[in-house]
Amino acid sequence: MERSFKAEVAKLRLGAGQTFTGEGILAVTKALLQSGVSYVGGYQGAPVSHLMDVLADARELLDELGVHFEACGNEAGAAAMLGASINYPLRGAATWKSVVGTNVASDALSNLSSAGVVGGALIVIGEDYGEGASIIQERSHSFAQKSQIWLLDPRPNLPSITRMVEKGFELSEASNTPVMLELRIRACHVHGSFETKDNVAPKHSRRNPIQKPVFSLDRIPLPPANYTQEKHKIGVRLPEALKFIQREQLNEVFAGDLRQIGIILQGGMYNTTIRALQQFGLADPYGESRIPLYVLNVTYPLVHEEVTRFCSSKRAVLVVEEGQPAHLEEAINSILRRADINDPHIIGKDVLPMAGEYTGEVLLNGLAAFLELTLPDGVDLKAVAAVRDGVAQAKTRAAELLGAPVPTRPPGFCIGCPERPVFTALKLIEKEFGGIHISSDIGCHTFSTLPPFNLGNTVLGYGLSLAAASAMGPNFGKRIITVMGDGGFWHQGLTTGVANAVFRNDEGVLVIMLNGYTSATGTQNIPSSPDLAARGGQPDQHRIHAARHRREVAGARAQLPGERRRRRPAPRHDDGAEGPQGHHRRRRVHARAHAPRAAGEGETACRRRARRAHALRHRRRRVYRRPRLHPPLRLPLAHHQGQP
Amino acid sequence: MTRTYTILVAALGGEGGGVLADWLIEAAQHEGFPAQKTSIPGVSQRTGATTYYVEMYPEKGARPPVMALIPSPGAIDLMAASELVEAGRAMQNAFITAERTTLVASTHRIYATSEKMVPTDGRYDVQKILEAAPQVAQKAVLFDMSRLAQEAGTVINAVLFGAMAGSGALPLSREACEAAIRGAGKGAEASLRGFASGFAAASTPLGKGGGERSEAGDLTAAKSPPTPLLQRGEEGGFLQRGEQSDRVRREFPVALHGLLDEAVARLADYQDAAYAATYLDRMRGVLAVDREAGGEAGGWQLTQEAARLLALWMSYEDVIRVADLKTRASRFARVRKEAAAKDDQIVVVTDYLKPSANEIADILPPSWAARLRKNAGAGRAVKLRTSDVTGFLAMRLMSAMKPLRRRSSRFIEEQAMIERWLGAIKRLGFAALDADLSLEIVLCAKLVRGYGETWRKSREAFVKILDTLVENEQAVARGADALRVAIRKAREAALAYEEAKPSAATAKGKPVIWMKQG
Repeated sequence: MERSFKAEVAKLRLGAGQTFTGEGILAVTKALLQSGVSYVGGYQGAPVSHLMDVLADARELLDELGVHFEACGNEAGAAAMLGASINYPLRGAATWKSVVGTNVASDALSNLSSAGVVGGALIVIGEDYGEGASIIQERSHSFAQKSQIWLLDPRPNLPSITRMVEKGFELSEASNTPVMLELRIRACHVHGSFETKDNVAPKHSRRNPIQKPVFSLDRIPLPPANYTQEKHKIGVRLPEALKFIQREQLNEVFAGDLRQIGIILQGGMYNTTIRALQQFGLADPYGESRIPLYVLNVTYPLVHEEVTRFCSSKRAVLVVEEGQPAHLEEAINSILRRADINDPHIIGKDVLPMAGEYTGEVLLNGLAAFLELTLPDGVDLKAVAAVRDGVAQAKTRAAELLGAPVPTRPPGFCIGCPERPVFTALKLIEKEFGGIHISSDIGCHTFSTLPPFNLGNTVLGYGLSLAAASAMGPNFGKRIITVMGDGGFWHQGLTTGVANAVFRNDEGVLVIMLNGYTSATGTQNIPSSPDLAARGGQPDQHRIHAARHRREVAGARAQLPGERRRRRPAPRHDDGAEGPQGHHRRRRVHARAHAPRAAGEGETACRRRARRAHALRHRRRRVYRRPRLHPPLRLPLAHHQGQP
Repeated sequence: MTRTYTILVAALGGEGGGVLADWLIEAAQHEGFPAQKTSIPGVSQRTGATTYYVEMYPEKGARPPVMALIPSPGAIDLMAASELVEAGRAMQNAFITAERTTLVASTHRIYATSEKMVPTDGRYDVQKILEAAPQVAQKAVLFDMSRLAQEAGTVINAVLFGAMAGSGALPLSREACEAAIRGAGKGAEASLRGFASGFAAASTPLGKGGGERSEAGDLTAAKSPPTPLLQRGEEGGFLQRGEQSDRVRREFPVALHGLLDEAVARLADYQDAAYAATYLDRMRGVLAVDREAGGEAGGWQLTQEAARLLALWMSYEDVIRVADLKTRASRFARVRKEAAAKDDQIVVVTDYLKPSANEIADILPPSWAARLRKNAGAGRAVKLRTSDVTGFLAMRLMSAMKPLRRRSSRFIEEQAMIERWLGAIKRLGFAALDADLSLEIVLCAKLVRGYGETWRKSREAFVKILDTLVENEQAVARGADALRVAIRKAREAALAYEEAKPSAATAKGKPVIWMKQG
């Protein structure tokens, strides 16, 4: 990671009674430390990358507390990491972008939730839904339901979000069930403040490791334990969770004078709903609504008693639930029917759209339709209609005045992006060979599918492009070109795609965009990140540790009998901090396969060609960096502004 | 009761919209107002359009109200756009309403990919946005902020912030805004300069209607094609006019003097004075056609267009010309300026070139060229340090071949083609005496454009128009009107030509080369 998060790290150190001011996702990070987590892991992706980035820079603070932080190989790795909480009282958190990350993690998630947890396990998911989303539009809610993981959807303000983080751990421990905290894009990036508490050092951590292993066959997903686990979920964990949610009042009811009607809404929908009510004059700036509200900060499981209590005396209730399928609306209908409460009309997806983000405009229209349908006493419907129609008229008027809709501006390659010429080259290849089938992957390079390139026929998931090409290869008249970033390569492209393709002896062309970072998520480090000497940055601690460890092992091994003969000076170039200096900086050039021999070229000639100065320099290119000074004149060069 | 004040900022990636939102929050906190902002970063990093949404409650020390995370149409108080089409987008989404919205937007354009992809002029007609702005907004403040930012040596966000404050709509004092900028530290001085110029521009009443300021004139110029199209780049240190210029005065009507002067200077610089004289000879022929067809009444439109296109055609770019332009002192000065190099710094200029065999053949005599073209490869990438002695000398050597250009294969070809085109103009022009028809033929020279693949395709289309329409007796026999329509259709189709989908015929198989492993 190139950016420094020093200022953000300082915010994580705030103590009791101080005020934190900053982004939502950073507030979550702070709340994790306040909850006494032993470990945090995850996989980067908008909108939760910031959590990972800041923690990666907060190594010192984490060391003080003894918290283990890990940037996992992928989301499945992060979910599996939560396995530490199955047997031991370790609180842990994992984070990723959802729904895609949850897809990748789902194997581990099923096993985790079936076994159950002793230590609190919290999964912070960045729900990438609606404007600005870069992924398929699905709900994480369905995952929570099918694996029975409790789902929190707090009101999008910092005090509410951080409270739900803390309560989430308690809920998880009270019900032996992992908990998901769902944050939408804008909630992750909302800038606000909350009153902090002291950070809590975890009971068990690197500083105070667990000494005795716990073995329990009940926690293994094999028969008969897997059957018991399912029964335990329903018989014990669910009732415990419902009890906790009620006792701690995680869901909130806001009274209003229009008692005939009410609104049940996801916590995340609260602010937009209030804004729509404000526009209709049905709520004041502080959110005092005239329509009673039942805010679900916990969207799964639903507390039957609370739902029936809220609905029982009402004529109609609007369910504001973003996304599809309409899990909440269906569940509420079923709860009321079972409780034999038949009075209130449950209105949801009939006035609000089934699919798509619930923006201000959507809620404005939906709420107006709801009011016109239910005709509550004491609401000036004309005023409501006037507000709604005003917006519609403004749109038509603008459309008339503008004549043609303005050109869209989808994201594309940054100016000067080196990936651009790669696709230009592919375009030229297309010209020469006719149309080609390109299997695309996830990353910045997916923008090649957009105009002006329009290259890439399928996208099947992160690191899956090569696997996605495997059935195309034999069934297509030309070779398939597969594009993958090194982020995707390490995420799962290596195993699912490359290893298997090599194993099967597949045919095709794989283009890897090797830039050394997961760029689309904000340039986080991955195994192919350039080493520090080349980056010119501060060395990462773990890289130095690893290098030192390698040296020590090599040194020890060299002492072994039989190894002495083969001893060579230990290579030191791995260590970014203290590598060879000056003209010694040349890297050892390792033997490589020779360049393909041209016809008629003898073996010696070929070797000589590979040994030539140019070839050598080419292999050593890392050392040959541009000089900062003009060699003969020793004057600074302009493109190294401000550097000596 | 106080209402929550809502601000929506529309920006593109790299314009500092996020920083602007930070400033707004800082300034609000400075005033003691509760404030909140949200954004959808990520998209903005990649040249896409994005928005930043800020809400504040303009009451000192108020308890935080419920603030929305998503902008609602009809509920925006201040709409700021860093680019004109983004302002149009906000109108389209009803984020600008006459009841409460002040619009502050920059009038400069950054073109969207879809606009750039159209081979002809695909630009959006922004005049409509400029006209609509005062009608849909309560108040509209529009001016070119990009220019002010450049002058202040800062990014557009500072000027936009200044304009927002200067519009009088922002419930924040100037002091609070400036304190926020200062508090951010980095580059504060430049940002403050930008802020001040934006503030001044927005608060100075100019033109009609109080604080309303709309430089519509600015933009009409931007939309209409820049005339004359002969751009006198910094490179073109054109020679003094002299003899040829006198000839222009003597032989051509006044309306054409400016254009012809430019053309003559350009061609004298491109080749020599004799070449410029040839140009004027050719133009006299066109003028005669124009005069016969009564072009004087139409402001010599035919001659104007022909003069412009012929000058561009006659100064086609070849390797010699490129080498010449790349080694001019003015170019190095410009690069230094762009790199913001100080006097004691050295700027290394590396030119990346890929001369194909065809381009080399262009400057060789016809017989050599034919031989080279026969086994032309794909060309070779060359990296030349033009700022070094060797690189510079190599380039100069190339440009010194200018006198030999007249004997080069491309020159001979181009002159023949020009004569063919002029011949057609004269022949049909005098025969039909239809100025419109002549103009259509003249405009076909627009197809002389680009390089590489585009040039080749366009040239094919041009020759095809000459062969099948202009010089085809059957086509001519069908009458001037039919011919005119046919030529226009063919020309427009060729100009709008998108990169051709490779036909099955051109896609040739490549042998599979198996490499031995190990």
